[in-house]
Amino acid sequence: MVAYRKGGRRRVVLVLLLVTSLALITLDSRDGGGGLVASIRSTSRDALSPAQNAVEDLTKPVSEWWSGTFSAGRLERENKRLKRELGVVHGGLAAGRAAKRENRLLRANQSLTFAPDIPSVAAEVVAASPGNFEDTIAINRGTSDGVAIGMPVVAGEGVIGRISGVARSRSTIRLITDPYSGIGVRFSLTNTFAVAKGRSGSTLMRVDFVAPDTTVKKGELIVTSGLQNAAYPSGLPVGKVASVNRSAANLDQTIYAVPMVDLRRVQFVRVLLWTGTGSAG
Amino acid sequence: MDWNGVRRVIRMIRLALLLVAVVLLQTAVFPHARIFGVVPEIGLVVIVALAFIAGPSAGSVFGFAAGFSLDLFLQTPLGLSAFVWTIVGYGVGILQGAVLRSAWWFTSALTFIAGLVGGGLFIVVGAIVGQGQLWGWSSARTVLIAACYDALLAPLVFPIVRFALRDERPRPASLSSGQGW
Repeated sequence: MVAYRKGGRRRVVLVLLLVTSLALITLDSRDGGGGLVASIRSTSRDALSPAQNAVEDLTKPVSEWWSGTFSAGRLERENKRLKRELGVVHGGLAAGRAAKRENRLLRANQSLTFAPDIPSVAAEVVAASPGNFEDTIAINRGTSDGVAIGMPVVAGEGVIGRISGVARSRSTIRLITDPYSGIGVRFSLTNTFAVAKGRSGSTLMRVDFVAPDTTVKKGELIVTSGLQNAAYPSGLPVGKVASVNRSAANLDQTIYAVPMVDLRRVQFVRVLLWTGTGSAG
Repeated sequence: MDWNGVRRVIRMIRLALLLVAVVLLQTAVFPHARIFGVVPEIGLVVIVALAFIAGPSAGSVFGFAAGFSLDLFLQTPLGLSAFVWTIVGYGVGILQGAVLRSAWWFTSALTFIAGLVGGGLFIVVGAIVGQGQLWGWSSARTVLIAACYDALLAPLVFPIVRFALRDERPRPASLSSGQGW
């Protein structure tokens, strides 16, 4: 009798917990990233931030050793590739100068000025994604620095993502390779518009909605489209076309692009204080 | 407060500390210790250990608490990990009642299977609640690697959880007072 009652109570607890979870999921979906759930997330991130920083500092030597150990094969391959590329660069220095001049002219023609008049905040990457099904990083700037959800983030040679979560002194960036990310882009040579989407478990983006008759070249630069209500200012470099595969009947083409910035190694970034209707700063 | 009450409070404090440790490890340590780009789900390993040692009630409650805590730091909907880990905790706890003696490799095998089930549920439930981007072969690969990683960590985690729960193992049904967690 006791065992039966105990089993019944367990099931009640289980059902209550599952119903609570579903209620939370529903609340989060309806929240739209700015209500109660966002403030709970923000508060908890603020509360744990000092402890996270302390633990990260403490375990940094071990993390670096681990990273070096498990990246050894990749680093060796990269070293060989760089040596090969260096040979090519030495061999074609003159051609490189010409290409550089051509590139400068092309950029001037395409008005690819890199976030010209938008105020920004510099930040350091402090953490990687804690989960397996998202591509995010955390930076050491938050609402106290003027950072808000939706602001674009750039680093080095191009855009890396948008602010998707913000606390007082920390923010989370959803990278452009995150499977939930989609950016309106245009090809620099043809001015054709498309959408670059992140892919689960991949460092490449898939570029969709490209008309079959559009000629896309490998290596072509893609930049943010800047269309009305776009999430990014116009003309920010996003990536380069890595591969173009046409279907047998030429009815479709599958295009993949590699981000301008090596997102696995990005250390310093700039948050553009831009919220879609103009700069926020 | 009688001695049993004191013991219960001490156990709650130990479990709360374990929860904080899980969140700190998952958000600040393991993101830098990836294998093939995949982080282990240390929370899931702890839940499996806790449910295996203490039963389905403890497993489901701790699963909910750990999942909710981790959800606060993820971009997926709040409550998704809590939902999945509650089920995993309950399931492992029920299984625990059917196991009399286990071989040395059993904890790793159990954690591996729980990792596969938990990861699979996360993808399926996530896709149902609007996270369609989770659906794909690359997610299956991620779940498989994460389950292997979790299985490797299990022999280290089980003794820690056993320590946190010491003197609180469920007694045989004939001696049980009917008090759950």
